[in-house]
Amino acid sequence: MVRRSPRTREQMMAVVAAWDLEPLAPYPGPHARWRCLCRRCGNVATPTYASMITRGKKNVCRECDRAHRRATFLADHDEMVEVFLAHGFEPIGPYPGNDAPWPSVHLACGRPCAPYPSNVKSRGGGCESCARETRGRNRQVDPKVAAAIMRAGNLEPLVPYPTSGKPWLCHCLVCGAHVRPTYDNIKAGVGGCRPCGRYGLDWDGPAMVYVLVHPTHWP
Amino acid sequence: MAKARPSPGTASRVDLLCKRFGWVPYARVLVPTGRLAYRIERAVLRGWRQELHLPPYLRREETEGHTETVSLDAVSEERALRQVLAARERLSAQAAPV
Repeated sequence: MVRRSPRTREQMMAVVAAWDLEPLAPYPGPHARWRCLCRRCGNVATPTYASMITRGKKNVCRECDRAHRRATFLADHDEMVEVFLAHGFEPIGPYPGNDAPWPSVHLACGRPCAPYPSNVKSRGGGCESCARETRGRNRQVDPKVAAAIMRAGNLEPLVPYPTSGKPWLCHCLVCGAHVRPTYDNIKAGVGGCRPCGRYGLDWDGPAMVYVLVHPTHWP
Repeated sequence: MAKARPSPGTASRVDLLCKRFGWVPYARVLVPTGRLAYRIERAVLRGWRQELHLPPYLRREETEGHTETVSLDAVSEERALRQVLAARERLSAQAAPV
């Protein structure tokens, strides 16, 4: 969808002038970046000639394009506050734009958060703490299944299932000791009872406590 | 400080600590069970860390068992041994059948 290239220098300069640009360098070819001065914003722009003759292009200057998009999509502060309140967020401070987090309070849980306005508008969500809790709930193991896995590892749980990574008070069905392994460890196949372990210190046999000194650290 | 099971004829953890990292045993205290040895060690370490607020003296890369070290300037070897013996007395009395 490219217009035909101009045949003369005058035609080319007319295209450049139509975009309010003033060339600062010789014409580099149609697909190379051409250093120009943008008369609309005063910045130096580096569009390609091919982009200038592309149909449907609104801006070839990057700064002008950014300003255009900001003006087009930036919502009104009050309007955005209403959107936030409708989704259960009370914003604090001025509306920062769609692409910046807006400090708010999540009315459902009362905790502070900073959702992106674009996310709230499109998905309605934005409270990270609530999202984390939801993810945790979705991943939570059924306590009955967890207890069955502990029993399969010769451990009888004595208290309700805490969470997968917290010590869980259990009764060892082999030696009768009270131990506190985590569900994660038992599920991973790690033995949960230290006295029953066939490694390290023998808990029921004689042992020694050593006091060691390092000669290099001797005063 | 270290705890180990008496293992005649094989290299125990203390032997490895001495060989690899240059530790020298100052004293050894025999206890009837490994469980009691573990509790003595915990009690002495609790005293160093929580009551005296002394951090581990060595770093992980300097020795194995760095979390069980303390500066000799802060706790001398005699004092450490006294603490071990006191903990043994106290914990043996607790563990003794009534």
